Amino acid sequence: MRRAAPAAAFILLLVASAAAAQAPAAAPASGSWQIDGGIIWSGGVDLGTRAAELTRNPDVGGDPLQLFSTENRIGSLAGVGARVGVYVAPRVSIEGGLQFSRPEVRTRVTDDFEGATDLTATERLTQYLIDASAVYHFGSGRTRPYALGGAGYLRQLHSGDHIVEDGPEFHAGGGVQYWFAGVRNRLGVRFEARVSFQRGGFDFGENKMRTIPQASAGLAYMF
Amino acid sequence: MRRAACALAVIAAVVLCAPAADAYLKLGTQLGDRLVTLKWEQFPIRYFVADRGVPDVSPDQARQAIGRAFATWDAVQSATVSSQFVGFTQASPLDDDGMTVLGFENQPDLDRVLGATTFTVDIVSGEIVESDIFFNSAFAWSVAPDGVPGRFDLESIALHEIGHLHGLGHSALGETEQRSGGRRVLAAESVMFPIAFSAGSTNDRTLREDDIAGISDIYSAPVFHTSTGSISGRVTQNGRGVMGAHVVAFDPATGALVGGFTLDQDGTFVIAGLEPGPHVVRVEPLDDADIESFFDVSQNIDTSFRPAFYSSLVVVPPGGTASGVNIAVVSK
Repeated sequence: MRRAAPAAAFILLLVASAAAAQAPAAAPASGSWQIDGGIIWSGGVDLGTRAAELTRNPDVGGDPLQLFSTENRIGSLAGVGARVGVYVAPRVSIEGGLQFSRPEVRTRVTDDFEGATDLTATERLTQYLIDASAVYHFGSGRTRPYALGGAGYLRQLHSGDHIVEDGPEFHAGGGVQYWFAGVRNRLGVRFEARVSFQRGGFDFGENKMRTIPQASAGLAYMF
Repeated sequence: MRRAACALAVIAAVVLCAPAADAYLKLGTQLGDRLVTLKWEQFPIRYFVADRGVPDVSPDQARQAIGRAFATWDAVQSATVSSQFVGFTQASPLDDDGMTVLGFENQPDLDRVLGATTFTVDIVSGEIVESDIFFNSAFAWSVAPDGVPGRFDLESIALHEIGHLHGLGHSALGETEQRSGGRRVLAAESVMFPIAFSAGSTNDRTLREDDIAGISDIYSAPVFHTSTGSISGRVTQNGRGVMGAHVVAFDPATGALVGGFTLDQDGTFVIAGLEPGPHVVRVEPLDDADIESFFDVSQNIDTSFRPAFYSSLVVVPPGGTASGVNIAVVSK
């Protein structure tokens, strides 16, 4: 939740600034199509800590001897995404999307028993997220805020592509679209923030639902 | 061979070569110009127990403890070993008589040796045809479920020696401290570490990931090759290979530690039996036990470098090898 707060603030800022730039425009008719694409920022994920431990000689003590410790994390990253949507009603659209990114797994290795130098060992994942969302659009002007929610499928491949980790994804969020004048209101920009809940991706065995803030910006075109 | 808390340079002269093969340190022998891994070809391994007890341990109690230790190795699902108790015998575990015998022998001159394993090997094939284990009755022993202070746990020591009987060498997954009179083990994560825990401990009745990887590497069940993977690479110092470096793979998902060694002058190593997924790789000099506990003294073992980690996470593929893990170390 601590990480979601900046994302929420981002939405409010966008909506507030967009509201000041209103210009009349018709709401899309049912059956209209929209495509958009852009860049996506995802927050990092803490994957917990794990120590390399040796069984202690009972004469020396009870707790395991820590050979070294690791602190594991997937770093924040930028990726790309594309979506296609169809308006089923003037205020409601259904979207399908694909995201691609290369998250970096970072393992910070510290506190070596024999004094090996600390370092951060890394690995790049290849990540795909396919999702579907229901979107509710507010207003009908040139600036149109919206809220969305949906579910998806997360697929991560480790380097070498021999190991696949996958699982479900759920998300909720909101954003704003601004449609430019002069191109028959068809070209616009889209800003969005969402919270993504993921389970089943790479997690060093924790198998917990992870909460990841995401923000995106891109161009949209309506048919 | 398993040593008591303090270790001296007592060494079995039978088999101390380390075949340059996968993973674990295996026992081997030189056959002509060939270095051959020692292993059994016939299963179950049929063994006798010497019909001699010691204070607090009757022959039947010894049989039960030894049977439990064999059963622990037999239970490794990724390996294909099995054993069978044949009966008691008056024969000595020191005799070369065609029988595999385990039992107590009084060896007061070996005042740092709890037990030792000897072999009779087919000099053509390298097959083990007999292997005996003696437990030194100069020490106090116990088979009590929770151990007895001041007495060494027979099942724990038997588990270690039976690892040798199967052909496993020593593991270096442990830390020791030098004290007056020898080394004391601080901690270990392998039954095959050469120095025993203190008398009274029963911690070594359970195999660790390192032991399971080792036995599975020699006697692999089909599932071993498909469900696990390996890491290979080199350890170098100033561009030259480092011989005898201890390389450890750590799985942050499970906490498992599996070790291996660089086994030639090029500094190449392979660690097998690893769960698929990312691993942290660490290299250290072989300085927590006597070198001759691991390698023949004639080999040029380099212990002059500092421990280090490999800079990347190494992703082990299922049924495959993550290669090219080259670690440059610096001198102490």
